[in-house]
Amino acid sequence: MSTVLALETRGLTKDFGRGKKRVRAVNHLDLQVEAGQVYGFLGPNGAGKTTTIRILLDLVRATQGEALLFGQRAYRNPALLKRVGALVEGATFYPYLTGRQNLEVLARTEGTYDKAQIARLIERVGMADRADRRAGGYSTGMKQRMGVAAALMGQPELIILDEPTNGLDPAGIQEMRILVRELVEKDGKTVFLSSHMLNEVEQVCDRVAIIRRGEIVREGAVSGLLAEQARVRVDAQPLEKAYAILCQHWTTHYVAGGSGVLAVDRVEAPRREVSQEVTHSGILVNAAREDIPQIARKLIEANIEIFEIAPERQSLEDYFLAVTSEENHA
Amino acid sequence: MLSLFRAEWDKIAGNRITVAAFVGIFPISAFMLLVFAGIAVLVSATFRQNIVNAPPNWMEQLLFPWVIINTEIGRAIMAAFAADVFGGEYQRQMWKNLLQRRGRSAIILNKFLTMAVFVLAAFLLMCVIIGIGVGLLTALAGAAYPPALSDLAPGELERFLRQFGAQASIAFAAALVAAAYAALGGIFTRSILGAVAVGVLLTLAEQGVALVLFILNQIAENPDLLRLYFFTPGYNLANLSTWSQFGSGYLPPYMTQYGFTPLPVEASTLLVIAWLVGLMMLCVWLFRRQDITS
Repeated sequence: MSTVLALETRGLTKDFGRGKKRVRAVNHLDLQVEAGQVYGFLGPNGAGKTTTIRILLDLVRATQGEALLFGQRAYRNPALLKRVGALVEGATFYPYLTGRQNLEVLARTEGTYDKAQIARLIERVGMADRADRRAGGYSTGMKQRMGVAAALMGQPELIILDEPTNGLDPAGIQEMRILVRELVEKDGKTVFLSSHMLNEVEQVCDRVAIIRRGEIVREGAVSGLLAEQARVRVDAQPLEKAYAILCQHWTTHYVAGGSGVLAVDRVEAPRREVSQEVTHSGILVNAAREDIPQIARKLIEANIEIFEIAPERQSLEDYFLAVTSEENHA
Repeated sequence: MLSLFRAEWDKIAGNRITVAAFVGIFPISAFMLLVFAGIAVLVSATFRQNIVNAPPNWMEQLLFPWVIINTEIGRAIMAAFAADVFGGEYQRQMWKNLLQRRGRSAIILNKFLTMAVFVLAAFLLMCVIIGIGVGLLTALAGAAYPPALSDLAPGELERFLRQFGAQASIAFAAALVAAAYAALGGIFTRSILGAVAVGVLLTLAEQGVALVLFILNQIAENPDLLRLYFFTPGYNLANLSTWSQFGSGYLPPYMTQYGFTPLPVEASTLLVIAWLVGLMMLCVWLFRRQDITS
């Protein structure tokens, strides 16, 4: 059975400017987002995330390649775009209209005006008591909430949210996280989420793509990516000897660390690339949980006293920083 | 389509400061002047007598507002108003919200239509205010408000209605031309200020064209150069307005000495339509090719 793709890009490329001033914002990007999941789209500033989203929404024309929504080309296809709701690069509104009037104007533009639905959406994003205030007086967080309401208008099947938690307080971020999961689990929507809040992404996304300089550098299920660079914490005495033993098997060079870190080392393991960090309180070995017996055996054979060997959970943030800095060094 | 029109109408009407400054100012000013004149009628016997001696004609009063919009200044004000309608979407970064909901051509063409209808409605309101207001003034002064319907010659009312319709149509076209200039300014500069500058400049530049042609004719001694002025929207709108009001065409005084005659109504109508279609299609074409990056 073929998988239904809500969103797909094929060799998507976008250049801005001409001649010497030409800048490639998106570089042969291939992306596939299956329907019915929350897909995280991550990358540092200027990586090309928003440009990709703008191409998907036909706001910006691709230089090469194509963007597809539900298997159809998004380019000059307004009927197709009605199946998509989006919040792009910060919510914006007519400042002289109230939040509710703004939603009404957008709904009428789309031809899906439904007063009751607008009221329900306002309620859903927690803006019922502020919807009749002029949007010009809204805080960033309030605008974001209304922006999400606008994205949900017209019952779209695919919802693209570009930094939806910008400006939200912790409670708002939590509400947004719940809302996003609900959209997928209860309403059966697909959510394409671009965010810098990696903790949030880790909690809500099923899959993520990490983009850098317009290219995808990693893509996969969140759990799978985190397992890829799992780390093991080793507390042993003498620490320097333990470090030396582990270096014999994994270490290739020794690097001075920052505060709280004595040294960081990158090594080539037989099966995978791993790295080690030595901290004041122990050694961090970038290895999977299944490597722990081997690490323990090496240390015991060298008569080193082991106090703790435990897998250390790596966050998506750690992973993101590792991947993007790895690409920087490449 | 009605839904899209309503959306644009709500946006325009909701922007009260801009509406008051560029469109509402006409009916509001008319109302204020009438109130002021009403006070004058109440306190000044001379003023009352003047009205009795030369009572205003309601037909002329109803036609007067349309003349305003068809002047260079009137069109420049309309261009400034349209600048907010078009340039405002860039400045407020609203295109990204709108274009995911409707096609570009439909949105931009609807803007032209709604903006022009809005202007038309404001001037119709001004006609009503002036028509009724001046009637009240004459009543206060104890004067008649001619012509009485019973005194109208056969076909006179029909002629008036035709003239009213023609003036309103010319005003509609003038508003559209001004809107197209402002829209081009908005598309190129992506700002309200830029749209105002380009819109007003292009509107006023049409008079500049006449001056440039006049100077070129002085240098080259080739009167045919002056003929190019006939192709400007400004000339043709003024010409149509003059034909409608006085039954004769418009010609700048310096052109009469070279034996030029005003363009006939049909030619000016065609040229105005050509300009309108051309300008609006140019806007649609440019807008459809544009990357919306903010």
